[in-house]
Amino acid sequence: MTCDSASYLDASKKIQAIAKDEATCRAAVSRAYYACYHRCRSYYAALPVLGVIVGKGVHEQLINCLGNPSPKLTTNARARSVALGKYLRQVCDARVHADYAPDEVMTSEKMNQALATSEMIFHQAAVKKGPVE
Amino acid sequence: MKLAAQTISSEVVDRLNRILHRGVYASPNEFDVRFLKRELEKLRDADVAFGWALFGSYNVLLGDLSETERCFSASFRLASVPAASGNYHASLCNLGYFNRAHHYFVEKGRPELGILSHMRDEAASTGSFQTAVAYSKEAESMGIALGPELNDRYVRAAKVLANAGVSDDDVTRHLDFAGEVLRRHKLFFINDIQVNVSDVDGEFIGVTCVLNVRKSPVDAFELNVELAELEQEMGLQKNPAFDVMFLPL
Repeated sequence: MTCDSASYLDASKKIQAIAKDEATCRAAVSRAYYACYHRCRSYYAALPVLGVIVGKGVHEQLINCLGNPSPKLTTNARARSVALGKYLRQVCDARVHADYAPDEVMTSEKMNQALATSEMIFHQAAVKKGPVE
Repeated sequence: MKLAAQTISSEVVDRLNRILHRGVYASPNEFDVRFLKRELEKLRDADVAFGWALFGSYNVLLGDLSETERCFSASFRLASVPAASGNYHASLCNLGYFNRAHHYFVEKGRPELGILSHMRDEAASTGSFQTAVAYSKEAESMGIALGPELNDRYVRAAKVLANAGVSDDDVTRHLDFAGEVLRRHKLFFINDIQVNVSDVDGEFIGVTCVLNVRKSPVDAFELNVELAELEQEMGLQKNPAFDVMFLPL
Protein backbone atom coordinates (compact mmCIF):
# COMPACT_ATOMS: atom_id res chain seq x y z
CA MET A 1 0.00 0.00 0.00
CA THR A 2 1.42 3.39 -0.96
CA CYS A 3 -0.87 5.25 1.43
CA ASP A 4 -1.52 3.50 4.71
CA SER A 5 -4.36 4.13 7.16
CA ALA A 6 -2.16 6.30 9.41
CA SER A 7 -1.48 8.63 6.47
CA TYR A 8 -5.23 9.11 6.01
CA LEU A 9 -5.55 9.99 9.71
CA ASP A 10 -2.63 12.43 9.51
CA ALA A 11 -4.28 14.11 6.54
CA SER A 12 -7.53 14.29 8.48
CA LYS A 13 -5.81 15.95 11.46
CA LYS A 14 -4.14 18.49 9.17
CA ILE A 15 -7.53 19.37 7.72
CA GLN A 16 -8.99 19.53 11.25
CA ALA A 17 -6.29 22.02 12.26
CA ILE A 18 -7.28 24.47 9.51
CA ALA A 19 -11.03 23.77 9.60
CA LYS A 20 -12.79 27.12 9.91
CA ASP A 21 -15.87 26.39 7.81
CA GLU A 22 -18.33 23.56 7.52
CA ALA A 23 -17.03 22.15 4.26
CA THR A 24 -13.56 21.71 5.76
CA CYS A 25 -15.01 20.09 8.89
CA ARG A 26 -16.82 17.65 6.62
CA ALA A 27 -13.60 16.91 4.71
CA ALA A 28 -11.77 16.13 7.97
CA VAL A 29 -14.51 13.73 9.08
CA SER A 30 -14.58 12.01 5.70
CA ARG A 31 -10.78 11.39 5.68
CA ALA A 32 -10.92 10.22 9.30
CA TYR A 33 -13.53 7.63 8.44
CA TYR A 34 -11.44 6.17 5.62
CA ALA A 35 -8.46 6.01 7.96
CA CYS A 36 -10.61 4.02 10.40
CA TYR A 37 -12.09 1.86 7.67
CA HIS A 38 -8.66 0.72 6.46
CA ARG A 39 -7.32 0.30 10.01
CA CYS A 40 -10.31 -1.82 11.02
CA ARG A 41 -10.19 -3.85 7.83
CA SER A 42 -6.57 -4.80 8.61
CA TYR A 43 -7.54 -5.58 12.21
CA TYR A 44 -10.41 -7.77 11.11
CA ALA A 45 -8.32 -9.59 8.47
CA ALA A 46 -5.73 -10.38 11.13
CA LEU A 47 -8.22 -12.11 13.44
CA PRO A 48 -7.52 -15.86 13.56
CA VAL A 49 -11.13 -16.74 12.70
CA LEU A 50 -13.44 -14.57 10.62
CA GLY A 51 -17.19 -14.13 11.05
CA VAL A 52 -20.00 -14.23 8.51
CA ILE A 53 -20.33 -11.30 6.08
CA VAL A 54 -23.74 -9.63 6.33
CA GLY A 55 -25.05 -6.39 4.84
CA LYS A 56 -24.94 -4.28 1.72
CA GLY A 57 -21.73 -2.52 0.72
CA VAL A 58 -18.24 -2.79 2.16
CA HIS A 59 -18.80 -0.27 4.96
CA GLU A 60 -21.89 -1.92 6.41
CA GLN A 61 -20.27 -5.33 5.96
CA LEU A 62 -17.13 -4.41 7.90
CA ILE A 63 -19.16 -2.86 10.74
CA ASN A 64 -21.31 -5.99 10.89
CA CYS A 65 -18.30 -8.32 10.75
CA LEU A 66 -16.67 -6.51 13.68
CA GLY A 67 -19.99 -6.46 15.54
CA ASN A 68 -20.64 -10.17 15.01
CA PRO A 69 -17.26 -11.86 15.36
CA SER A 70 -16.79 -15.61 15.14
CA PRO A 71 -17.85 -17.44 18.32
CA LYS A 72 -14.59 -19.36 18.03
CA LEU A 73 -12.62 -16.31 19.23
CA THR A 74 -11.94 -15.80 22.95
CA THR A 75 -14.50 -13.82 24.95
CA ASN A 76 -12.09 -10.88 25.23
CA ALA A 77 -11.24 -10.88 21.51
CA ARG A 78 -14.93 -10.98 20.63
CA ALA A 79 -15.80 -8.15 23.03
CA ARG A 80 -12.97 -5.96 21.68
CA SER A 81 -14.06 -6.60 18.11
CA VAL A 82 -17.65 -5.66 18.97
CA ALA A 83 -16.49 -2.48 20.76
CA LEU A 84 -14.42 -1.52 17.71
CA GLY A 85 -17.46 -2.15 15.53
CA LYS A 86 -19.42 0.33 17.65
CA TYR A 87 -16.67 2.94 17.23
CA LEU A 88 -16.40 2.39 13.47
CA ARG A 89 -20.18 2.67 13.21
CA GLN A 90 -20.02 6.03 14.99
CA VAL A 91 -17.38 7.45 12.63
CA CYS A 92 -19.18 5.96 9.60
CA ASP A 93 -22.34 7.70 10.72
CA ALA A 94 -20.45 11.00 11.01
CA ARG A 95 -19.00 10.44 7.53
CA VAL A 96 -22.43 9.75 6.00
CA HIS A 97 -23.59 12.98 7.63
CA ALA A 98 -20.50 14.82 6.34
CA ASP A 99 -20.83 13.60 2.76
CA TYR A 100 -24.55 13.07 2.21
CA ALA A 101 -26.41 15.48 4.47
CA PRO A 102 -25.45 19.01 3.45
CA ASP A 103 -28.69 20.35 4.96
CA GLU A 104 -27.83 19.01 8.41
CA VAL A 105 -25.36 21.21 10.31
CA MET A 106 -21.87 19.77 10.81
CA THR A 107 -20.39 21.45 13.86
CA SER A 108 -16.73 21.57 14.83
CA GLU A 109 -17.78 19.62 17.95
CA LYS A 110 -19.07 16.80 15.79
CA MET A 111 -15.84 16.87 13.77
CA ASN A 112 -13.76 16.78 16.96
CA GLN A 113 -15.81 13.89 18.31
CA ALA A 114 -15.29 11.93 15.08
CA LEU A 115 -11.55 12.60 15.17
CA ALA A 116 -11.28 11.63 18.85
CA THR A 117 -13.20 8.42 18.13
CA SER A 118 -10.87 7.74 15.20
CA GLU A 119 -7.82 8.16 17.45
CA MET A 120 -9.28 5.58 19.81
CA ILE A 121 -9.89 3.18 16.92
CA PHE A 122 -6.25 3.54 15.91
CA HIS A 123 -5.13 2.92 19.46
CA GLN A 124 -7.30 -0.16 19.93
CA ALA A 125 -7.11 -1.67 16.46
CA ALA A 126 -3.35 -1.99 16.25
CA VAL A 127 -2.66 -5.34 14.60
CA LYS A 128 -0.88 -7.47 17.16
CA LYS A 129 2.28 -9.30 16.28
CA GLY A 130 3.02 -12.53 18.10
CA PRO A 131 0.52 -14.86 19.83
CA VAL A 132 -3.05 -14.25 18.77
CA GLU A 133 -6.21 -14.70 20.81
CA MET B 1 -31.39 13.74 31.01
CA LYS B 2 -32.69 16.92 32.64
CA LEU B 3 -35.67 17.03 34.96
CA ALA B 4 -38.62 19.32 34.40
CA ALA B 5 -39.44 22.00 36.96
CA GLN B 6 -42.55 23.70 38.22
CA THR B 7 -42.21 27.44 38.84
CA ILE B 8 -41.62 27.35 42.61
CA SER B 9 -39.11 24.57 42.36
CA SER B 10 -36.89 25.75 39.51
CA GLU B 11 -33.88 26.59 41.72
CA VAL B 12 -34.04 23.23 43.44
CA VAL B 13 -34.39 21.43 40.12
CA ASP B 14 -31.38 23.36 38.77
CA ARG B 15 -29.43 22.14 41.79
CA LEU B 16 -30.59 18.56 41.17
CA ASN B 17 -29.61 18.79 37.52
CA ARG B 18 -26.19 20.23 38.36
CA ILE B 19 -25.40 17.27 40.63
CA LEU B 20 -26.75 14.84 38.02
CA HIS B 21 -24.55 16.50 35.40
CA ARG B 22 -21.43 15.48 37.33
CA GLY B 23 -22.08 12.05 35.85
CA VAL B 24 -21.38 10.00 38.98
CA TYR B 25 -23.53 8.86 41.89
CA ALA B 26 -23.58 11.35 44.77
CA SER B 27 -23.09 10.64 48.45
CA PRO B 28 -25.75 11.79 50.96
CA ASN B 29 -22.90 13.15 53.11
CA GLU B 30 -21.70 15.71 50.57
CA PHE B 31 -22.36 19.33 51.50
CA ASP B 32 -24.22 20.07 48.22
CA VAL B 33 -26.39 17.01 48.60
CA ARG B 34 -27.29 17.71 52.25
CA PHE B 35 -28.13 21.31 51.33
CA LEU B 36 -30.30 20.07 48.47
CA LYS B 37 -32.11 17.67 50.80
CA ARG B 38 -32.94 20.51 53.23
CA GLU B 39 -34.27 22.62 50.35
CA LEU B 40 -36.37 19.70 49.16
CA GLU B 41 -37.85 19.27 52.63
CA LYS B 42 -38.93 22.91 52.62
CA LEU B 43 -40.36 22.57 49.15
CA ARG B 44 -42.27 19.42 50.10
CA ASP B 45 -43.97 21.38 52.90
CA ALA B 46 -45.23 23.87 50.30
CA ASP B 47 -46.16 21.40 47.54
CA VAL B 48 -46.45 17.90 48.93
CA ALA B 49 -47.14 15.95 45.73
CA PHE B 50 -44.44 17.56 43.58
CA GLY B 51 -42.11 17.66 46.61
CA TRP B 52 -42.30 13.87 46.95
CA ALA B 53 -41.63 13.53 43.24
CA LEU B 54 -38.52 15.67 43.57
CA PHE B 55 -37.42 13.50 46.49
CA GLY B 56 -37.69 10.65 44.02
CA SER B 57 -35.32 12.48 41.70
CA TYR B 58 -33.03 13.21 44.67
CA ASN B 59 -32.75 9.47 45.30
CA VAL B 60 -31.73 8.97 41.68
CA LEU B 61 -28.62 11.02 42.49
CA LEU B 62 -27.75 8.40 45.11
CA GLY B 63 -28.46 5.55 42.67
CA ASP B 64 -31.24 4.25 44.91
CA LEU B 65 -34.06 2.78 42.78
CA SER B 66 -36.24 1.49 45.63
CA GLU B 67 -36.31 4.91 47.39
CA THR B 68 -36.93 6.59 44.04
CA GLU B 69 -39.92 4.31 43.47
CA ARG B 70 -41.23 4.86 47.02
CA CYS B 71 -41.09 8.67 46.71
CA PHE B 72 -42.75 8.79 43.30
CA SER B 73 -45.46 6.38 44.52
CA ALA B 74 -46.14 8.75 47.44
CA SER B 75 -46.38 11.64 44.99
CA PHE B 76 -48.73 9.83 42.60
CA ARG B 77 -51.01 8.78 45.48
CA LEU B 78 -51.43 12.43 46.45
CA ALA B 79 -52.02 14.04 43.08
CA SER B 80 -51.46 13.67 39.39
CA VAL B 81 -48.78 16.23 38.55
CA PRO B 82 -47.84 16.01 34.85
CA ALA B 83 -44.27 17.23 35.46
CA ALA B 84 -43.87 14.50 38.10
CA SER B 85 -44.80 11.83 35.56
CA GLY B 86 -42.20 13.22 33.19
CA ASN B 87 -39.63 13.25 35.99
CA TYR B 88 -40.44 9.65 36.92
CA HIS B 89 -39.78 8.63 33.32
CA ALA B 90 -36.53 10.62 33.32
CA SER B 91 -35.53 9.07 36.66
CA LEU B 92 -35.92 5.53 35.35
CA CYS B 93 -33.77 6.45 32.35
CA ASN B 94 -31.15 8.17 34.48
CA LEU B 95 -30.87 4.97 36.50
CA GLY B 96 -30.53 2.96 33.28
CA TYR B 97 -33.95 1.25 33.27
CA PHE B 98 -34.92 2.26 29.76
CA ASN B 99 -37.31 -0.59 29.07
CA ARG B 100 -39.32 0.15 32.21
CA ALA B 101 -39.38 3.81 31.23
CA HIS B 102 -40.59 2.83 27.76
CA HIS B 103 -43.46 0.77 29.16
CA TYR B 104 -44.37 3.61 31.51
CA PHE B 105 -44.53 5.93 28.49
CA VAL B 106 -46.62 3.42 26.51
CA GLU B 107 -49.13 3.34 29.38
CA LYS B 108 -49.15 6.93 30.62
CA GLY B 109 -48.26 8.82 27.46
CA ARG B 110 -51.42 7.92 25.57
CA PRO B 111 -52.74 11.20 24.10
CA GLU B 112 -56.15 10.95 25.76
CA LEU B 113 -54.52 11.00 29.22
CA GLY B 114 -53.28 14.56 28.69
CA ILE B 115 -49.63 14.34 29.75
CA LEU B 116 -48.05 13.35 26.45
CA SER B 117 -46.45 16.78 25.98
CA HIS B 118 -44.61 16.32 29.31
CA MET B 119 -43.07 13.03 28.26
CA ARG B 120 -42.94 12.72 24.49
CA ASP B 121 -39.59 14.34 23.65
CA GLU B 122 -37.79 12.66 26.55
CA ALA B 123 -39.32 9.30 25.65
CA ALA B 124 -38.31 9.72 22.01
CA SER B 125 -34.75 10.57 23.04
CA THR B 126 -34.50 7.41 25.15
CA GLY B 127 -35.59 4.85 22.59
CA SER B 128 -39.40 5.09 22.38
CA PHE B 129 -39.09 6.41 18.82
CA GLN B 130 -41.97 4.62 17.14
CA THR B 131 -44.36 5.07 20.07
CA ALA B 132 -43.59 8.80 20.21
CA VAL B 133 -44.31 9.14 16.48
CA ALA B 134 -47.51 7.07 16.74
CA TYR B 135 -48.78 9.01 19.77
CA SER B 136 -47.97 12.33 18.07
CA LYS B 137 -50.06 11.31 15.05
CA GLU B 138 -52.90 10.16 17.31
CA ALA B 139 -52.79 13.45 19.23
CA GLU B 140 -52.88 15.40 15.97
CA SER B 141 -55.91 13.47 14.76
CA MET B 142 -57.60 14.18 18.10
CA GLY B 143 -56.83 17.90 17.79
CA ILE B 144 -54.48 17.89 20.81
CA ALA B 145 -51.72 20.53 20.61
CA LEU B 146 -48.31 19.22 21.69
CA GLY B 147 -46.16 22.27 21.03
CA PRO B 148 -43.18 22.05 18.66
CA GLU B 149 -43.11 19.10 16.28
CA LEU B 150 -41.16 16.01 17.26
CA ASN B 151 -37.49 16.34 16.28
CA ASP B 152 -37.01 15.05 12.75
CA ARG B 153 -34.08 12.89 13.90
CA TYR B 154 -36.43 10.80 16.06
CA VAL B 155 -38.95 10.53 13.23
CA ARG B 156 -36.21 9.26 10.89
CA ALA B 157 -34.96 6.85 13.58
CA ALA B 158 -38.50 5.47 13.94
CA LYS B 159 -38.72 4.93 10.19
CA VAL B 160 -35.33 3.23 9.82
CA LEU B 161 -35.99 0.93 12.78
CA ALA B 162 -39.55 0.07 11.69
CA ASN B 163 -38.23 -0.87 8.23
CA ALA B 164 -35.59 -3.08 9.85
CA GLY B 165 -38.13 -4.77 12.13
CA VAL B 166 -36.63 -3.32 15.33
CA SER B 167 -39.27 -2.32 17.89
CA ASP B 168 -39.04 0.24 20.71
CA ASP B 169 -39.05 -2.74 23.06
CA ASP B 170 -35.93 -4.14 21.30
CA VAL B 171 -34.23 -0.73 21.42
CA THR B 172 -34.90 -0.10 25.10
CA ARG B 173 -33.92 -3.66 26.10
CA HIS B 174 -30.61 -3.08 24.36
CA LEU B 175 -30.26 0.29 26.13
CA ASP B 176 -30.84 -1.55 29.41
CA PHE B 177 -27.52 -3.36 28.93
CA ALA B 178 -25.81 0.03 28.78
CA GLY B 179 -27.81 0.97 31.90
CA GLU B 180 -26.48 -2.11 33.68
CA VAL B 181 -22.88 -1.14 32.82
CA LEU B 182 -23.51 2.41 34.07
CA ARG B 183 -24.92 1.11 37.37
CA ARG B 184 -21.94 -1.20 37.90
CA HIS B 185 -19.69 1.87 37.70
CA LYS B 186 -22.11 4.20 39.56
CA LEU B 187 -22.27 6.48 36.53
CA PHE B 188 -24.93 8.58 34.85
CA PHE B 189 -24.95 9.38 31.16
CA ILE B 190 -24.56 13.12 30.51
CA ASN B 191 -27.05 15.28 28.60
CA ASP B 192 -29.53 13.67 26.23
CA ILE B 193 -28.69 10.46 24.43
CA GLN B 194 -27.11 11.30 21.08
CA VAL B 195 -29.26 9.60 18.44
CA ASN B 196 -27.38 9.15 15.16
CA VAL B 197 -29.42 8.19 12.13
CA SER B 198 -27.94 7.17 8.78
CA ASP B 199 -30.25 6.26 5.96
CA VAL B 200 -28.17 6.41 2.79
CA ASP B 201 -28.72 3.22 0.86
CA GLY B 202 -25.46 1.57 -0.20
CA GLU B 203 -23.46 3.51 2.39
CA PHE B 204 -24.93 2.84 5.80
CA ILE B 205 -28.41 2.45 7.19
CA GLY B 206 -28.82 2.36 10.93
CA VAL B 207 -29.53 4.11 14.21
CA THR B 208 -26.96 4.43 16.99
CA CYS B 209 -27.68 5.64 20.51
CA VAL B 210 -24.59 7.23 22.03
CA LEU B 211 -24.46 7.71 25.79
CA ASN B 212 -21.90 10.31 26.82
CA VAL B 213 -19.99 9.56 30.00
CA ARG B 214 -17.44 11.46 32.06
CA LYS B 215 -14.57 9.07 31.50
CA SER B 216 -11.22 9.22 29.77
CA PRO B 217 -11.19 7.98 26.14
CA VAL B 218 -9.50 4.72 27.19
CA ASP B 219 -11.90 4.11 30.10
CA ALA B 220 -14.87 4.85 27.83
CA PHE B 221 -13.58 2.27 25.36
CA GLU B 222 -13.33 -0.26 28.19
CA LEU B 223 -16.97 0.48 29.10
CA ASN B 224 -17.84 -0.46 25.51
CA VAL B 225 -15.88 -3.70 25.85
CA GLU B 226 -17.84 -4.43 29.03
CA LEU B 227 -21.08 -3.61 27.24
CA ALA B 228 -20.10 -5.96 24.38
CA GLU B 229 -19.35 -8.74 26.89
CA LEU B 230 -22.72 -8.24 28.54
CA GLU B 231 -24.52 -8.28 25.18
CA GLN B 232 -22.86 -11.61 24.38
CA GLU B 233 -23.38 -13.06 27.85
CA MET B 234 -27.09 -12.25 27.70
CA GLY B 235 -27.40 -13.66 24.16
CA LEU B 236 -28.57 -10.39 22.62
CA GLN B 237 -29.64 -10.97 19.00
CA LYS B 238 -28.37 -7.79 17.42
CA ASN B 239 -29.99 -6.29 14.39
CA PRO B 240 -27.41 -4.40 12.25
CA ALA B 241 -29.83 -1.48 12.11
CA PHE B 242 -29.37 -0.62 15.77
CA ASP B 243 -26.57 -0.31 18.30
CA VAL B 244 -25.72 1.36 21.59
CA MET B 245 -22.37 2.75 22.70
CA PHE B 246 -20.59 5.02 25.17
CA LEU B 247 -18.39 7.94 24.24
CA PRO B 248 -16.37 10.20 26.54
CA LEU B 249 -17.70 13.72 26.92
